Amino acid sequence: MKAFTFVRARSAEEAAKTLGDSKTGLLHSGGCDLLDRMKERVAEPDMLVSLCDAEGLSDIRLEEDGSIWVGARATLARLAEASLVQRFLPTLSEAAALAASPQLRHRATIGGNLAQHTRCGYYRHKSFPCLKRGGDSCPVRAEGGVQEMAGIFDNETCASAHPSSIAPVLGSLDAELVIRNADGRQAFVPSFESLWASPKKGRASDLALAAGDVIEAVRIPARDTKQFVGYAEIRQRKAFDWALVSCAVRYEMDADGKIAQASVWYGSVAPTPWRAGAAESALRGKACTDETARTAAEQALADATPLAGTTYKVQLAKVALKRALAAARERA
Amino acid sequence: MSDDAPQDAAARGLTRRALFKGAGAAAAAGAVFRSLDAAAKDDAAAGPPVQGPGKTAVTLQVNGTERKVEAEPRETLLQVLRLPLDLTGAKPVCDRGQCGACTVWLDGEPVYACNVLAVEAEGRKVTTVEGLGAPDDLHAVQDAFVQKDALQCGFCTPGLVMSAAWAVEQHGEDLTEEQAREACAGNLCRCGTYPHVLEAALAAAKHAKKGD
Amino acid sequence: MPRTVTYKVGLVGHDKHKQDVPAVEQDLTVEIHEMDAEPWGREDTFRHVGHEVPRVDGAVKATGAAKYTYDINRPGLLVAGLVYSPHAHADIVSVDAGKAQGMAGVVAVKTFARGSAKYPGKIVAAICAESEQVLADALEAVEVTYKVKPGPAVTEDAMKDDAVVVDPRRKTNVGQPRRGPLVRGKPDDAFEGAEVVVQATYRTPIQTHSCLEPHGCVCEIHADGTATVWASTQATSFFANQQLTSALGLPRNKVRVITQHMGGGFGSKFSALEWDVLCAEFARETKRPVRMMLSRRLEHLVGGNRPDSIQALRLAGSKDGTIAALQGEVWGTSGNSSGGGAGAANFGVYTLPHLSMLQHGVATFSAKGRAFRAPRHPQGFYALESIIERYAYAAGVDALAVRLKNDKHPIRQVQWRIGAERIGWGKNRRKQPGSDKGPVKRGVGCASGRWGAAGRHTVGRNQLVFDVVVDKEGGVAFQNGVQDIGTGTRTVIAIIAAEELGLQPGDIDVRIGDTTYPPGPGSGGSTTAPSIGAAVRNGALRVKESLAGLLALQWGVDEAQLSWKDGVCHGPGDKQASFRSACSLIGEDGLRVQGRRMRNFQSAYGETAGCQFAQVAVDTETGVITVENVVAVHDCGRIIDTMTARSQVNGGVIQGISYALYEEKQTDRNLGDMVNPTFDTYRILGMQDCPPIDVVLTSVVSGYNNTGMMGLGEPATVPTAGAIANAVYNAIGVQVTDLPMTPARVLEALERRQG
Repeated sequence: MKAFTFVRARSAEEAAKTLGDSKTGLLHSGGCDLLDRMKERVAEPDMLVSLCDAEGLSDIRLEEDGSIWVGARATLARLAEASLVQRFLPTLSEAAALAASPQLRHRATIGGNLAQHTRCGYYRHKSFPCLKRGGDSCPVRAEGGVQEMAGIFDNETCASAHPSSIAPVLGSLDAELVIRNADGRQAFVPSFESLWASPKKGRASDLALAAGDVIEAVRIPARDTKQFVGYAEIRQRKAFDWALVSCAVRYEMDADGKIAQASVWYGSVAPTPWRAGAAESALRGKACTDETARTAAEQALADATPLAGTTYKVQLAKVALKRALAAARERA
Repeated sequence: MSDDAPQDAAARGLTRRALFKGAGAAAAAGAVFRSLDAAAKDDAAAGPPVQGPGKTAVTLQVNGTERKVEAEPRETLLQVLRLPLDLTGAKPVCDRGQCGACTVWLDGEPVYACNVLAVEAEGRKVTTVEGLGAPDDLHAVQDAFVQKDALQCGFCTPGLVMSAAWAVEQHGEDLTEEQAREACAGNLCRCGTYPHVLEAALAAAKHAKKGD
Repeated sequence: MPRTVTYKVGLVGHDKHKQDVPAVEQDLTVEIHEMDAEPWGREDTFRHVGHEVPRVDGAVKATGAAKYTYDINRPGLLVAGLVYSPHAHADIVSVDAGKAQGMAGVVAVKTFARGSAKYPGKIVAAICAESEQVLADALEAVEVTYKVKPGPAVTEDAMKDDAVVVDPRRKTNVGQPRRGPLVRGKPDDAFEGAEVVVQATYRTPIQTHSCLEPHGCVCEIHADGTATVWASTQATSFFANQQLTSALGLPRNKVRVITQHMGGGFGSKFSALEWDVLCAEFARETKRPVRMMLSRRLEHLVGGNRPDSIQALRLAGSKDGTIAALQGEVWGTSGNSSGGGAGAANFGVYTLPHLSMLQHGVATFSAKGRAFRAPRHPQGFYALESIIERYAYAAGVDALAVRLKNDKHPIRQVQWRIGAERIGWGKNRRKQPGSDKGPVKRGVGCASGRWGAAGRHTVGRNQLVFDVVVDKEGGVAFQNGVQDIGTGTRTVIAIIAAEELGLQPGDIDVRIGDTTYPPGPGSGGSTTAPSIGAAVRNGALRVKESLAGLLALQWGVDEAQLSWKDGVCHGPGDKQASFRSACSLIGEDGLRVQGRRMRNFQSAYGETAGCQFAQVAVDTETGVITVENVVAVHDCGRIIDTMTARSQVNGGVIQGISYALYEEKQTDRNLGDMVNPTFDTYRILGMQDCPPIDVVLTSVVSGYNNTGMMGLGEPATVPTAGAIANAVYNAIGVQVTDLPMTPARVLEALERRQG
């Protein structure tokens, strides 16, 4: 790691202001991903603004309007174990429990999980050319590139895949982000989708946030009707592995037993968490049967643009959706 | 409301919104903003503490003893434990939080010491494999590792001991095979000691109480 | 005078199987050197040997007290690191280390700004600094200019006609064996008239050793003109090679190598390598202790690997399950050099009357392979057992029956039956492969393994010798330079010595891993334990003889009237003395004797046998394979410690599963560099994916040496990948012909079956 000053921010506001002033500083929460990138000198901040001493940022609480507030510093271990999450946000607790390893879950925070960068081996080592690091093209896309972990959507410029399995769950739950701006004000990211930005030459982060924006909390809104939620993750090893594909779904039923509204999100298939709008449309107005799931899965992947080495992910993504829907039905 | 509070309500099967119906839900939305703004004002006066980039004083509570070291902010807890403190039980293997050989407990929870900055551990309780037991005074899990031959080359062993001991501490005599496997999932062993590690963890748990 | 002994050798039994096994035994007559002990026989009983004995160094390892090379902290220690080329092929135009040199805390810098770099990981600069932080900054500050050139980094690209050649003196990267293909019988004729012919091409990946402790050493030159080198090596005796000693500027007898504990080698850590030599140079230049350990990335790149293989095989046989002929051509790369085990041991075990096998080493622009736990064998046995499986289905004969029919090894004949019973072959083997209903399909498979390692009586050109020191308080030390690579070498020494002397293993002071002692063998070829075991035993016998001599003087009787039993020396009448009381006769200067390793006997069992069975569940919707159960039946001659032996087999199986399902060095074919040099993407098996492993140790009196020991570390990893692949085939009805069997490859195979 390059030497840096370590700022012990005592609140999100203080962190945001300090970051806003510094321009080159980076926010430090659990450090799980950030320290790795700094060790490889893919990230070389001269200042880390740490939330390690900040208080009140790791609350998980039920708000009076029924929404659930998850402080950005809440660890994945707590998301997995907190009874509030287990009870009301079962897919979030399930995904958190499956993520990484016990050691990382005790460090990794929900905010950091959203802010983590792709695991692409090209991105993460400086000797490889990489579009996200300012290169002219993405070497993964070239014939002869190692593509196994790459994405199957939005991969024309950069074939990276967003590794978070928490993000698709939050997407499916229509989570809102509470942001603290550099000027000290609190703001809400209007939709989970608008939090993300497609890859661009020279832009490392996948978040559409300004410098100095600090994720302060994730807020999962309450709903009046019964929610059906399911999560499925396909990975090679049970122990400590990245998801090859993850999928989270949420739907509501109308009085006729048809799906009134559905939300379908994928992880590890695109440079950002991926909303499968086509699948959502395919589910709407249908009974949640195996046949509906099959159709939705076909629709979800109809526009996929897999590379030669990632065609298998198309199949995995279809299966993941079917399993997530089945899990939602079963849970109900 | 804390995360563990709504057990009763949950047990009654109420929806989240129902929980707060009649509890003044109308006033709820603004409350969040008020509390945060108030906190922000208090902090505005003095700037946040800044350390580094050069060496800075760090005080750690290592294995029950206060240890003062000088470290740059970029030094990891693992580096500080191994070099100034000469506690070489935690091993540097991947230095990327991927293998578990440097597992220590931070305030009683297992973490990768390569993934924690030393300055972050300021004032916190650090337990290393040396703090668990010594060759002539073995911790029950260390003893079980020896008796079950849960070690070969031994380079991953300190980390696996810390993970297995944490599992035993968490679950005591109720420790299941699945829980033991899960607790050790973040530790890689190249020699292939897993089957014996599992036996050792379960054997040690037999005589353990939760929170021992 | 040599004497002749006739004794029974063969299968003694096994540690688990309750049913009787067929008697496998024969008389063996051997000539025994006068300095050698009489071999332990089939009927001998033991207090420690063959029991479950905890490792004598278990407690220091479990508490972090054991000091590995990486843990050596010396006063004034400097740390060193490397700058390396990321390119498959490039000219090094310039190396500018000026900035690094000027940094506070940088003590020494070396640059290598000449010639071409022909593999990623080629060292271009080395830096020695006061701290890891300074070192990291300095390494980063070195500016290297490369002229990047084309150069194939992977085998298939290097085989192309127009490929750039690694060695400009050659026309092609594809090597041709000087003697042409290995041919036995008349393979062409055999294929001509065969009832059943099957063929397939199998591919195995490059597997990195992934030792948890990286390669490296700590060098310190002392004021008295001697040096100590703490090294992570599996051969203390061979580590200080000529390059290292000349870098230290010292004759070899002034260089002491210490390896008290080492974090894994698996064949990759013998002599000092480039970086060790640089470490020694730094120690000499700076006059301070210097530590150089590879980073994890470099460890993956240049620390060694098992070469890959492409094996095109054809097998012919009859409809009754008799194999007639095997024909094949193999390509594999050991990087930019030969050696390291390119090629595949894909014949043997089975009677193959007709054989033709042509093996090519392919040069690539990548770092060289190194010996890796049973070099050439896991890849070869995977392919051999896979083509046999194909043949069994094609011939319509049960796959186990084919093996029993064509495998003549008497021990393995027994092992196949034990394994089949324990895996439930009759019940769990799918008669119709892929016939399970539902998306998750199960199957079982099996594969054979072999090895042969009775140990050696020499270390280099020296006889293998243990110094044994006994003091008048009864303290016993066994001393030899041999290192414990993790197999339990210390414990084996302690058990054998304790057995002979009537002591407890913990009573023996085992002093090893230090060239101060007589040269020890390298931990390679699974020969360590069988080599040292017989020497330790002879050492213990010399101690007993010497003590008997002292007692004879004391008692005034003839030495020939004395005999030892269970640690007690008995004389005429009721005279007797315990080991400890006999030791009280030793003078202040102690008793010193030597345990010499004599030549192996000529035995009936030239190789050890083994076989493994696996049960898998394959999720055919996702291609994810779960290994649910493994039965591993192995023979390693006389077992000294059943518990550490089981650990060895567990380790072999686990590395084998990892090889079959997860591990693969992934190289970008355009850029030539490894894309997954980290443990999150270079996957190795973890705790939750480790199946129950049912280890059955068939104890065989091999008759090879006075203990009857043979090696076990390597054979245990030979059959695993083949057994798993065959189980997958049985489960899904189609063969996955590439390792590792990733979800992508399994899905592809399933699609092939449908399409």
